[in-house]
Amino acid sequence: MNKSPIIILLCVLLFTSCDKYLDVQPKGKRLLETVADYDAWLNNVNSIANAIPNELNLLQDNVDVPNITTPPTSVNDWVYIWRRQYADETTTPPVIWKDFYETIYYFNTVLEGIDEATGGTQQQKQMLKAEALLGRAFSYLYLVNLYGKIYNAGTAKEDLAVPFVTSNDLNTPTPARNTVQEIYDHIIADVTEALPHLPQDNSKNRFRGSVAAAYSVLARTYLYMGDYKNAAKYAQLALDNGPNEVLDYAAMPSAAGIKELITRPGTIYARLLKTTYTQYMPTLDYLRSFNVKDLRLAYHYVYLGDYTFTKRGETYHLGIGVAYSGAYPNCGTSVEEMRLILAECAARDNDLPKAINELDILRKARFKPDDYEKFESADQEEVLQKVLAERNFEFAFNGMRWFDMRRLDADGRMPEVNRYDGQGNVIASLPPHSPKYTLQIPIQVLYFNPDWPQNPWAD
Amino acid sequence: MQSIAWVKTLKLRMAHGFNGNVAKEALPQVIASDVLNTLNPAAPVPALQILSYANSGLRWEQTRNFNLGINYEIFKGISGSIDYYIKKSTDILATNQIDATRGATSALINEASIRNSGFEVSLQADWISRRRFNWNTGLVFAHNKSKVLEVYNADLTASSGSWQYISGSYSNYLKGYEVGALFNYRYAGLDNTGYPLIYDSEGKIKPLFTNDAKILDVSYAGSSIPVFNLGLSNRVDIGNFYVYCMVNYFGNFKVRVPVPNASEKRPLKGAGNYWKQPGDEEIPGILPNPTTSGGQQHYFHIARSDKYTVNGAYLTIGDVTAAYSFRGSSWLRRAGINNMELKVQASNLYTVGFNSYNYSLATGSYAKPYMTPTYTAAIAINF
Repeated sequence: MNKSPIIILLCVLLFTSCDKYLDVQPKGKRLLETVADYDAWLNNVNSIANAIPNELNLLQDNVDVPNITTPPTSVNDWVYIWRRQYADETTTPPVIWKDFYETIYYFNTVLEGIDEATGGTQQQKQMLKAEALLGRAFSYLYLVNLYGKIYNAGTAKEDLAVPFVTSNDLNTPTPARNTVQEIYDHIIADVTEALPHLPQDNSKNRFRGSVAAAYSVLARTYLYMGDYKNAAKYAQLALDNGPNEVLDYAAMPSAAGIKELITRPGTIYARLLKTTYTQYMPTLDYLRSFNVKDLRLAYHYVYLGDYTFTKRGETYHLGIGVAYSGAYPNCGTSVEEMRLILAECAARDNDLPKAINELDILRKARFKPDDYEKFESADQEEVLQKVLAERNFEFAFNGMRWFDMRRLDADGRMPEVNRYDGQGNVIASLPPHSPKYTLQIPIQVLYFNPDWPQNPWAD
Repeated sequence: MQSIAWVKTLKLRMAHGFNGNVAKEALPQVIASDVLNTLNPAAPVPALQILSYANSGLRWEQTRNFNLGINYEIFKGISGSIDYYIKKSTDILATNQIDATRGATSALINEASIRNSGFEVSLQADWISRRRFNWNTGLVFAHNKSKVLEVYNADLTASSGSWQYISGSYSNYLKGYEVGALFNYRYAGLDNTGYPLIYDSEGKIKPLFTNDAKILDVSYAGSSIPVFNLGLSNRVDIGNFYVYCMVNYFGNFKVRVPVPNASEKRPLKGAGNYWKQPGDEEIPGILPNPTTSGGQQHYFHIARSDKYTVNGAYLTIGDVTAAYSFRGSSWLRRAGINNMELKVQASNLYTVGFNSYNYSLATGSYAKPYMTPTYTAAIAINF
């Protein structure tokens, strides 16, 4: 009995020191209970900020892998040659698919739990909920465009896409595949529901939601659906409600002027690749299509040589930027993208002065004033092609090109793409209207969902 | 039974039991851990990341025990027990592959199961019990076999290269094998450039890593966990003096011995015996050429071959004690002392590994093939 005072004293000492420690820096594990917990949850880096699988860059036409092995044996190489499946067995993680559903899990966790969260106002809860709805919709926009056919109003009600998962409970069965139409309906409904509750300003952290971010996601959604009228409408609304100045390369003394994405000017809704430091080798054709005075070439690529680009595998796209300033490409939305959506929609609507003006706003920020030549044309197709080319320069290795390729293919504007081994032999082809433009459901997912129909394929 | 005079008691026990355990690493809600979001290095903000996924379908981990035992007392002063048990644990919370559509490729779910079976024999014998002379012995012998019945091992899948089976603790829990399973390359010496060769599953020789046949390029060596355990203690009392000795034996398991490597800072003995020129490969026990590209790695890999994986059985004389008690002597009483005991104790006296390297888990290294014995002399006085 005479020991107990000492024990009590010890306990008191321990508890007081613990409290102090917690005041300084909370560490360890916890349940999501308060509104502040959910707010911190949305600041997640690994699954929300770094959300976009790098494999998307390997699907695109302007990437080169000159040192590919014969036969290709790595997952990356399999993606690069548009192989039917990126795995031979069901026990490996399904690339691309898993990354988007991992991000969706984070947002579903907010949507499932925020109503019961303590502390914080109703308005704060609605705001976090709105951010989660927006973030989830953005992830589904990728999924529907990877595993479903491109939106076609005539067939979208039959074309299968991906399951629309809303639960974060591992015990809830995976729903069946929804149609392309259903997924788009969910995206638009969720963003629309989110809009009234989103904050006006996300300038402190562009990875978080905002009104402009929601409009910009709608603009990209309608663009991918081929609804240019609505795409232009929401692109303009995004610019009217948030940043509207493109990031001006011409005004920077050097590439070091491109800073971290989280507060980078011109960014509306920020997303990074899963692995930001990956270097990509562009194809020679792509490199040669640049104007050599284009600052995007100088600020994002290394080993440019004399700009003649004659040897494969020499020039690299450096994710971090040539000045190592954190100039990682934004996979999310930006003023630049909104400008190019406005330009494209105007060109398709034959409003050439508007298209040329939007192009001018972006392009003059990509050349030193002395090097800049304004693009002028009175030919609708020429203007449209210029806009599409400009998208290709501006959205280099940010995971967006594959979706443009799909749109162009549906448009009849996408030529055959080939892959070459080190000796220049064709090792894979992506012909126009190939079913390969819609990825196969990974076998690792079908293993758990054996009743799902697979997407069509032709080698 | 009464007719068998030497059997004093014989009790047969049988028990069948059921244990449940609720694991705390997974809950019906998400468990998160604190991290710092440093995307803006100038102004980091608090963030959370997932530690465990929400799972409303968690079940108890269950262990079914079956135990059959005999307690015995035979002759005069010999008693003990014999036990046989089967323990099957199911629904063990373990990392398993799940449908990636749920948000993760693997999560803690109730799916692993392991079976343990074995027997234990204990014996306590008072061989001699006199007023001034006692000798007794205690013996415990245990045998345990385990088998992993069901588990998802993310590190070892059908596409895993042979090197993954020998890497770290990847093979500790592998379906169909004992817990702590060890895999080995079948070492076949060196080629004429000093590069290691292995036998493939058909006994053909090939250079290490050539046409890797995954699990077929390695063979199962056994468990790294002792199957047998034996403890034997003896104590002899002569008047106020006693001697006590404890011997432990661990057997039926495999252990890997280090490979002497000349490129280490403090190479082990024999490290200089490596391949230097063509023809050296004929020398028995010659080590690979350390200067080939990745030469270090080959040392790592041959360390995980049948040549360097040996019987791990070892025996230790753990504790020898001699003591004399002055209890009851008249001069103690005069000095007002209750008891005084002089004690000399030696620990880690002797270890022997039953393999050609005399290598044992107890010493952990054969740079020093013995454990440092400790000797203690004590005088204990009770007032």
